[in-house]
Amino acid sequence: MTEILRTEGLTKRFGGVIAVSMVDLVVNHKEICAVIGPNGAGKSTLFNLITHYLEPSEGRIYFQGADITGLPSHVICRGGFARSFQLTNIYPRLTVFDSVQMSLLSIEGLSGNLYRNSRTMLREETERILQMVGLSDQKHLRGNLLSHGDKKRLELAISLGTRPKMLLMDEPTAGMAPDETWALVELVDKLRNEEDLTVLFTEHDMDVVFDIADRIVVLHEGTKICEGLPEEVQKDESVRQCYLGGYQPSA
Amino acid sequence: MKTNWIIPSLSAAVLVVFGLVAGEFWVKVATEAIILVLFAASFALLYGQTGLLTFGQGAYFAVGAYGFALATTKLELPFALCCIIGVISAGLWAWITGFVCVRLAGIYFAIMTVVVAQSTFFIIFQWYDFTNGDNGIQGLIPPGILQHPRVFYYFALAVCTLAYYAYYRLVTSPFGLSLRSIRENTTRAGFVGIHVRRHTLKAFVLAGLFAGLSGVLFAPFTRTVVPQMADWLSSGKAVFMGILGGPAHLAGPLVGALVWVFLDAFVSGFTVHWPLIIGILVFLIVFFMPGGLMGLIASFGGTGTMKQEREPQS
Repeated sequence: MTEILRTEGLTKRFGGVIAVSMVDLVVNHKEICAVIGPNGAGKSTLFNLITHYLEPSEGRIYFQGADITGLPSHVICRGGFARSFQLTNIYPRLTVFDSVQMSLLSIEGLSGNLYRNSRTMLREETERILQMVGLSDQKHLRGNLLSHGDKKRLELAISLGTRPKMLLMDEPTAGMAPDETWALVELVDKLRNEEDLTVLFTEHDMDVVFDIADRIVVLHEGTKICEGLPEEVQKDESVRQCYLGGYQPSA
Repeated sequence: MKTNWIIPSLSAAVLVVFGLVAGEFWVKVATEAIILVLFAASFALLYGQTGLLTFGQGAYFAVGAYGFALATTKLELPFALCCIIGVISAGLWAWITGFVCVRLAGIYFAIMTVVVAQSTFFIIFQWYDFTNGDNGIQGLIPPGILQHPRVFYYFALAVCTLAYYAYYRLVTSPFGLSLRSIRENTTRAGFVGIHVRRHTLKAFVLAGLFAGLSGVLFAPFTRTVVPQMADWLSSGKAVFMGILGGPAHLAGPLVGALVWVFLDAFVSGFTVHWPLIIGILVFLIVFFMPGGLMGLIASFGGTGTMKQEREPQS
């Protein structure tokens, strides 16, 4: 398996508080990797570090072997690295179609083009992505008029528009109805198989995690306390103590 | 698509006929209006499209006008060349000052644009040797047949129509969509690979060019340039016209500038208190019609959903 993402000794301090401490992480090609942990374990901070939303205090991040620590977000995005946000982060007053097309235009290096008509550009690929996430019928709606679940899917579509090799999702199913959640899980699995996507995500819903993840990383108080296959993590004593409690997978 | 084309083409048709049938006073009012459409467009590009609230477009309006005036009086160059020099100087000034402005966000950006505009005003005001200070520069008479108000009207109409077409192309281009993405969600725009600062600077320079062209046309129209073209009242005019028309709408600057200038000319004809009336009007619009006049018109087209397939506005 080829390695896609690696972090070495990633650390983030906020004043005296250490939110993430010396985290080493490896994600392989076409793998779906989950980061779990109790509230305040540093999952979102870790995500923000990896996606360059925050600057790490220490440590390096490598993407496909290249050191990407400290590069601006628009640069790493062009390298095939996309993220979605915990709180839905869409363009409220752009149409669904425009929002997704924007990503494609950007990744084609056309975002600064002044004289072509954007209406006719990259239509087919935009339609294909909308089809894939199931938003074709809503494509002329403004983003802020969508339901919560659809906003999440739009967000995913915006990320997919950047033709990522790797997708980072921070709590993708937060606030979703159960059927929406499982539709998203299926979609992510399909994307991995059909679009060769590697996925790193955080999640609170353990059913989702144990259903979809190939590998699980457990964070507790900023440090990685366990890492492994779902069965291994489930059996691990320290994880059971600090997080899982008596959790039994429902499937 | 519908509202996008009806208003500009209808306005163009009305304006073409207007130049033949109206009295000379109203032809001059209309000339001022169409020139200021570009000034309003300059504000709309930054605020309506990119979400950057600027109170300093007067600076580039004035630099355009002074560029034209100085090229005419000091260098005695041909008219067309003076126009080009004026527009380019406004663009350059926007590029230099924009470099600083686009590094700031929100209210700090707005304050910075005011600072830049007031600085521009004082430079012009106090640099007597070069700009003739508070006396301004007079006698900017356009060449030959353009001296006739009706001919100048059609000249301005032709130039502004072309410039507005450029504005339309810009708004519907991928770059225009990028600007709206930045307006809607700057962080997200960065995460889909848009170089936010480079794009906003580009928008800033383009807006400076529109304001500059407006100033360049204004100078031979009034045959005078004064430092007050750069002050905050002048910049405020761009803001009011833009807000009045609806800055996010393609036809917004057009509607805003035409309504503003004609109302101004009409109301000042029978009362000296016209600024008060205009003030109340702006107040009502800001309060009750956040989308401006175009927002009001568009709201009759349906709520929320985009009836038009791909409306380039908000």
